[in-house]
Amino acid sequence: MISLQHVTKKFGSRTAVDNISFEVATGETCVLLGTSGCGKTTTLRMINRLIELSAGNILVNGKNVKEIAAEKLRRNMGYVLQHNGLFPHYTISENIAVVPRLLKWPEKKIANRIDELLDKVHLPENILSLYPEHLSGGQQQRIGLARALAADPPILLMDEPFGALDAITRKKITKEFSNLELLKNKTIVLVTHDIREAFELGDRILLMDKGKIVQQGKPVELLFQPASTFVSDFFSNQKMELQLNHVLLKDIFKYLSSSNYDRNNLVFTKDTLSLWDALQLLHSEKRKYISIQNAAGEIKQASYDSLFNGLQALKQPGHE
Amino acid sequence: MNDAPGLFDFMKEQSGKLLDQLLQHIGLTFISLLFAVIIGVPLGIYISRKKKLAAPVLAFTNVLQTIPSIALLGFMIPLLGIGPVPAIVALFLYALLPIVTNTYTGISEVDAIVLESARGMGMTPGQILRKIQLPLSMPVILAGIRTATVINVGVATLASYIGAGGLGEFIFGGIALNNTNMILAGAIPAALLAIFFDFILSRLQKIKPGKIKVSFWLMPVCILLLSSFYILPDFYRSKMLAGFTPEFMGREDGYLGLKKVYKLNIRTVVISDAVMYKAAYEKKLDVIDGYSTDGRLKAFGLKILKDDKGIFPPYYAAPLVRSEILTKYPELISVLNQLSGRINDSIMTELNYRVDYLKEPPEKVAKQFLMEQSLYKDPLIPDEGTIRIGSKIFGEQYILADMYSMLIRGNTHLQVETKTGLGGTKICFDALVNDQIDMYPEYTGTGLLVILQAPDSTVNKLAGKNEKVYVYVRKEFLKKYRLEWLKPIGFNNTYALMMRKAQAEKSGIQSISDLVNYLNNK
Repeated sequence: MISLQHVTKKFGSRTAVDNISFEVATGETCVLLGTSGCGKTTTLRMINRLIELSAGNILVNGKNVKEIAAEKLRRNMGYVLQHNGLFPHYTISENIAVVPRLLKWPEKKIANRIDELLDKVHLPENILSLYPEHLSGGQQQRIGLARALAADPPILLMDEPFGALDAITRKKITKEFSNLELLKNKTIVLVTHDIREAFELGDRILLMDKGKIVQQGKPVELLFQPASTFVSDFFSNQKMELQLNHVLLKDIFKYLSSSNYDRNNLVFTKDTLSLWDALQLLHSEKRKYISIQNAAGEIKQASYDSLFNGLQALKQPGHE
Repeated sequence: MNDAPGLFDFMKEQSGKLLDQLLQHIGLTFISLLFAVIIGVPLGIYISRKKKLAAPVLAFTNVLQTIPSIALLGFMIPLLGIGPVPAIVALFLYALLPIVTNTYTGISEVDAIVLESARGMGMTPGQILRKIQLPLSMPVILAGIRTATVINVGVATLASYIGAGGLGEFIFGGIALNNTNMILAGAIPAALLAIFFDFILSRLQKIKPGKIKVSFWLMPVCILLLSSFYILPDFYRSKMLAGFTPEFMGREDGYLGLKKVYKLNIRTVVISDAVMYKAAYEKKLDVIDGYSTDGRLKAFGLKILKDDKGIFPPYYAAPLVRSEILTKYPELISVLNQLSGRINDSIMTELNYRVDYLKEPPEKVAKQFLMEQSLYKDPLIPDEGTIRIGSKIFGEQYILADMYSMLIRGNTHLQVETKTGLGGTKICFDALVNDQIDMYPEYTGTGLLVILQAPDSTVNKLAGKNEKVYVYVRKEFLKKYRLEWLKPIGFNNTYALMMRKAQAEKSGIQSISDLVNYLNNK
């Protein structure tokens, strides 16, 4: 769907993005992750031509973006910014209607679409006539998303969409977004510096540094098969948390023994639970052991210790 | 405090004129404002996009703002003549700065993130301007227009100096004629106008951008149209145009007398005497008033029309001094009277000519004359007190003030301070009465008609009798104001009607009656 080929951007003598290539498949959520100044936002903005590239090609659905009028291109891509960028002089409904009006949709269709969107981002209808300043940060961000998706574009570009929210709201909204029906089937490119967010939302993560892609792959791959010390260092602070959150029971299933524990001390679950959730479950149910059934119907039981041993064993084939 | 009912009566009596002036004033303010908005807002938008141009453009509009209004109006005369057009151009230039600056600031201060999201959603630059930048910067732009409006209401009072009408006619007429009611009749509506428009615009500013209803815009547009229809055609109609000073317009031995005695019927504009001669020379005016001794007569090739029905009586010029000062420094009397009888009409005209036309400094002209008359002495060491000498704002008064200053310094141990260029009879006289100056040269006719405002019967009785006027004025001033008229300087000053020599000869006009006939035959 989106394909970047040897894309370079220079600002004067400084190279912001250095000959990068990657593809984002239809329906995939691809996260550009990195510290500030790594070139991730520049890369994103080149896709909708807010920044013109210096060299290389960007194709959307096989068509070079250079050959599409910038305004037309942008109207077919949702764009969500860190500070939502809602128009302060427009009501919420006017804000949502911006792109449909640019596309000259009939008013009736716009009104129906607004209702539909509002429902999907879980906001009440009575906010439609309010102005953005009357909404909380989280609500504004949801309207920002609704606005970006108003004309139902197949592609959504998000630049630090939750960056302006406080930690608690951010966690909540991130969770909410990851389950949002509206975002299913969208091809999403999301820029963030927040590792947790990247792991939570990304099907695939591209870790960038100094304008280059250092490693790309599934979240777990970056965690367990870091391509360089930069990658492992990048995750080192949150490694345990990420591992627990993103390693599923099925990932360590093969390392678990088939021991038989006291039934009264068991809690039952499927292997699609993350390690973290499994530990939470043990804790909340006040049990010592967990009984895991995988897709094939095989059952294994594990204690706290055997879960951690399994995690260690998983890490062995990696670089460490 | 008998001003209050008097003011109301005056306004009622002059309501037609007042309404005319008010409409002219609004017209001047808003036509210039309209042009300033039409030019200034796009210019502000343009420089907000080409930041390199912002500094030079803003510097230029800034410079325009610093030019004194009177000077700017003066510059306009050779280019655009007199009347509403140069006044509108000058007002336009004044209104430009706040409008350009605020548009530029307003547009530049629109949140970059909002602009980014507008671009990101696929708005074209034109759509961003119309839907985002202009609505969001509207309060700031309106604040600029508001500032410009208030400035323009104020500066427009000066437009009457170059014959563009407006409430300045009453204000400056009142100052010249010593008529407080007239001043207030102009000043109060002007102030109310400024407050009113400021209020209206402040309301506009508070309306949520993008929600401004058409009806709100309609009202100013109506006022504008009304005023512009009113102001423009009136000015460019018949062929002969007279420009008279505010003082002349209101004096019995001036325009009032011309209408009464000569049945003169000519289109008139009120104009400052600072620019009147030049405007006549530039053929922007055909007939002007002036003083018989004025040096600019010769300078600008003008001809005095013979006053064949004798409505301009000659009057003495003499120093007018506070009695208190003469009691305190009795030696002043003889010093100031040294000039008495020394300057006749032709000498005064010659001296004025040197200052007005040859551009010699009044001080130099005064000193040379005193030396020729052997009256000049080097200044003594001042150790007694200070005499403050005032003068009105034309050449003759400057010369006389300098002569008195030299005489006092040379003959007494008094220090002298000059406060020259006071803008009219009322300002000079009020300064004198209120102990701001101690003396200034005044004319008995002005004393009789403008200051004392003597009843018609007295004026008629005294008409043409110089000596009797002097005696009457001297007695009344001492009684009423404790002011002393010293001995007359010697020359007679009188009003006169003037035309360009060439035009007068071509049309065969020698006297005021000729002029009246010429006009009636057309």
